Amino acid sequence: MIPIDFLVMVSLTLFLLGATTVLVRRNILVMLMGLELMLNAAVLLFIVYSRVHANLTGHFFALFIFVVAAIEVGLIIAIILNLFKQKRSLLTSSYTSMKE
Amino acid sequence: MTPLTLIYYILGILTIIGGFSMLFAKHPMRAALSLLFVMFILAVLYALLAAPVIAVLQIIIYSGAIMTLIVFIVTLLDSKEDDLRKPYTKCVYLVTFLMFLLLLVTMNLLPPATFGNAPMVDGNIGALSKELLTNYVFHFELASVLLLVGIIGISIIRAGRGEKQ
Repeated sequence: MIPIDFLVMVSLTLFLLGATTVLVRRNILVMLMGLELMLNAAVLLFIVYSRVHANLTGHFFALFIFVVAAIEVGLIIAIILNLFKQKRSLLTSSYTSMKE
Repeated sequence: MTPLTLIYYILGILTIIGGFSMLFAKHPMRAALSLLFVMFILAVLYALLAAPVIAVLQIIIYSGAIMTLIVFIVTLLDSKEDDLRKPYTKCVYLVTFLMFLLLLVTMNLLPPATFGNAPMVDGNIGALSKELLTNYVFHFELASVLLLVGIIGISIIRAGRGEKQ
């Protein structure tokens, strides 16, 4: 027996924890980890419903999410390295020059 | 409640604990290790949910490649002492409250407790790759093009186009 509602709840909680991490933390790297957590929560939901409906489509969604996540992390880390070269800081509060 | 259902509950609660410890970790390295923990537990959940290929790929791609990259970058760009003292922005209480509210609302929107027991789908590598190279071959090629574009983009961002050293 699979507790579907519980697993959906777990996925929802993980997604909201990731969103909270992105919105609340000041460190860019921890915000990136929050993004990863949100993607993982989505994959969990796809796999749960793929199992419940005995259908493989969710697995392909998960595969393509993995591809997108890999590229995303590579690009974000390249951008973070360039940002760090400019200001020597990882805090989002250091990058507010557009506000002034 | 069968023992398998109990295992689902334990694993689910462990992932949520890992997520919370990522949110509350002061040092980025602790957050990265908590995320690694969450990813391993999720891989076990995928294996239990009849998705062994996705479980293995989760370990290889997420825990192996992505988290290694993140841990490497955390050690490379060392955080300063005073950066660690205040890890949250000013709107932390408001955002946490709103997220909690959203969680409660969506919990009430969910259907009542359901236990699925669908027939097992064949999620092994043979069935998956056969489907991937027949029905999903266009998406597969698009994903490879996306990877290529990503690699080119990363090298352009890092090399600095037209920039003389």
